Amino acid sequence: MMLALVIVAGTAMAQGTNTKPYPGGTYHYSLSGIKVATEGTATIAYGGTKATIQNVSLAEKAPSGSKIYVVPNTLTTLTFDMAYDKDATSGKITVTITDGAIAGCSNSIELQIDVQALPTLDLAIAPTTIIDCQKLTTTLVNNQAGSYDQANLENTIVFTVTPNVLHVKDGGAYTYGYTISLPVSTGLKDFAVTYSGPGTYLAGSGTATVSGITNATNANGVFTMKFKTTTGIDPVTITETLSAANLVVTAGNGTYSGDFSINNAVAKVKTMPSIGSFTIEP
Amino acid sequence: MFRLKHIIILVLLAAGYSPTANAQSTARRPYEGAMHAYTCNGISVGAVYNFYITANADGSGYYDDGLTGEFDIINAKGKVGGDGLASTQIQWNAGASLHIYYVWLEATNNGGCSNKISIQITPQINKFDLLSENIPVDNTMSCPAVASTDGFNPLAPAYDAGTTLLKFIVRRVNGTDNKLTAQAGDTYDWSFQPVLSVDPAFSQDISIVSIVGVNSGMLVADVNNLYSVAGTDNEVTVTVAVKNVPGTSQDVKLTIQNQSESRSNLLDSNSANDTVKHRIEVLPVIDRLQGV
Repeated sequence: MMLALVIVAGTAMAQGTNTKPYPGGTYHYSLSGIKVATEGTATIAYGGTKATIQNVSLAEKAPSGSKIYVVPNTLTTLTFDMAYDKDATSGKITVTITDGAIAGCSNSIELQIDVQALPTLDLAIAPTTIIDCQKLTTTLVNNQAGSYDQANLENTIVFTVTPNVLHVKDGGAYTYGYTISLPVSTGLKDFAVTYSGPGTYLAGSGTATVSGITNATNANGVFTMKFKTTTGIDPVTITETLSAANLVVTAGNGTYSGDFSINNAVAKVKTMPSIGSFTIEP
Repeated sequence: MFRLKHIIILVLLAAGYSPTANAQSTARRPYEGAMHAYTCNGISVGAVYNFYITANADGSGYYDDGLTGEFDIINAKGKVGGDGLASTQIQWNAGASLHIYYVWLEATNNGGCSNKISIQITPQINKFDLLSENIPVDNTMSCPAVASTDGFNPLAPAYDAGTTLLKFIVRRVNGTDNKLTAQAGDTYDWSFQPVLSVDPAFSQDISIVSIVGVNSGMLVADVNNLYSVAGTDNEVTVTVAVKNVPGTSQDVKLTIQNQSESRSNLLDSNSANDTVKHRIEVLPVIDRLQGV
């Protein structure tokens, strides 16, 4: 029996981190240079926990999954995937090739797998620009209330979403996104929300999503609410709530639900008293 | 000729219009001495408000009412009720016509937010005037009444020189338009106290017979001898009875005093025309008529 066993880097799915996989990811492995004199078998074992061997390249014979057969006298490459659960532990992958001859001999190879810490995404939202009372014009017109000139009376509230991605190796590629609830009807004049920041912003009715934020564009998301001074209504509470955050680490293609250290931000817009006009004689 | 007629009409219209537009005391152009109400509507219920006055349209130049004599704000602060109104009264005092003022209303709600509004006020010299005149104004002399119904009665059993009735006008100029009523031409009521005298003072038998206004009717004096005239009357006729004194002329003098306008508290601006004189010429002396 002649064996030549080599574990090499996998395909793109592994991205070179298959020996240091992220839990929750799936990584590709390849063992080349296998050659047996008699049809033999291959076994793959993992010394850690919570990892599943998938997509074995060589044919399996009955009972299914019990053995992997290696054709004789042919230089063969064995490929397989390892899907690591989010709570997988480190260990060794051991591949053993056994010649099918009577009292056939075995050869084996090990690859140390160091499962990394679980990647996490944490988002926090907070109002970074708030207003106390709404604006009044500084250029008052005779017998017109200070709140009258709406054109120049734009009030701004800014909410900032701050991301914190952890346990992705330096330079590791990832994308993330989240959903944010936005007020629809506030009673405030010309109320409008704009977004500036990374990713793709898609506004819906009452909610918006931001997706496709990459490690390259990682930055705070800024939601700006503008409205014109509105008088005579009750105080308005503007609440923005984060939800459905997810992180996808490119290496291993693991998907992780995001957490929120602060998922709810509230800004109160104080009521402004109305003033009509003086009704004295001209 | 046609063009000249039009020019004359325009001049007359302008002359007639201008005094009406600018002469009266109004809230925006108050006379010194006048009190006017300032009301703002559309204010949020429950807001507290404060009226104050500044020198400038941008709100700078705050005048401390306690230190500034040119005006007094009455009840500057309050709370807006269900009608959404805030009102105050401002007494404009002497010296106010030297400045332009900005009356501000600031409304603040429970949350501490404020809104404000201002209006420009240009006080004027007081031109409210109550004056007395002859009828017509140049009728300064007349003969004593000798008719039996009004004066000397030659058929009286005992000698009686009789009584002459004189009529004067007390006239109001530049009254304040009363915006509290829809009645066109209505103004605030006005009042005065008539004082009569006669010279020489042989007889103090002089009295007011009546004071009558077209709309006010017969007026009755109050306890202070003040006669109050409805604002719709610009003048009243004062009828005075003077006992005839044969052999001498009599100078009858009607003086009005304590003139004022209701609501605005305006006082008379010109004391020079408060007194009117009328001379009753000499009544010839007759001893007696008898048969000889």
